[in-house]
Amino acid sequence: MSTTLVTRQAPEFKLDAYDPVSGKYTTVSSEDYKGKWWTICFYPGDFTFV
Amino acid sequence: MNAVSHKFKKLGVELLVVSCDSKFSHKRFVETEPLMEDFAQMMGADGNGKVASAFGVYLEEEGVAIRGRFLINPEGTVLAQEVLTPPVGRNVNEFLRQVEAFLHVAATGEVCPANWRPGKKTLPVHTDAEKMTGRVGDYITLEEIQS
Repeated sequence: MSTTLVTRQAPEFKLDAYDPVSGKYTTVSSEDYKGKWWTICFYPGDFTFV
Repeated sequence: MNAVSHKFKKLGVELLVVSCDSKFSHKRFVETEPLMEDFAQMMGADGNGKVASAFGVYLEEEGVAIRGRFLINPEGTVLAQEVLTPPVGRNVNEFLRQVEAFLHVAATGEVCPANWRPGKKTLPVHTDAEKMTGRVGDYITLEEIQS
């Protein structure tokens, strides 16, 4: 099984989210990034370093 | 990531950060952690680790995501990734360098050799591949790569 995502399509998703710009709770999905350059960064938890 | 997030914005690259905490925790984190002051990027709440799993960075036993970051182009293709265990932070400058290099490649069709950063020499476009095979040193020197 090849496990790297590189060269493959990014998985689709939908998540609850917090938008610090508006200060509001919202949702975010892979649809929001269609046609854009984007990055996704995972981190172990809030109150650690991001 | 907060230290360079404005640079991503300048390049027109969206940044989404995700952990398995709740959106309420994210809000509190931004409000209380000095390093998160003025953080202006969307924060996803992946409570059950489903999205982290889909990206191959979910640590099931601990219910947390490991430090994985991915760069994705407008076609939805993953171009680069880096995955680290939790105790070591990423080199955000290296990530930024890769983003700049991929944007340069997409804009020009040129190829960015090792250590490339904006302003440095690229390899020529439309060069006869056969001519360059095994002779990359005719186009760029070790000194130029290491400069």
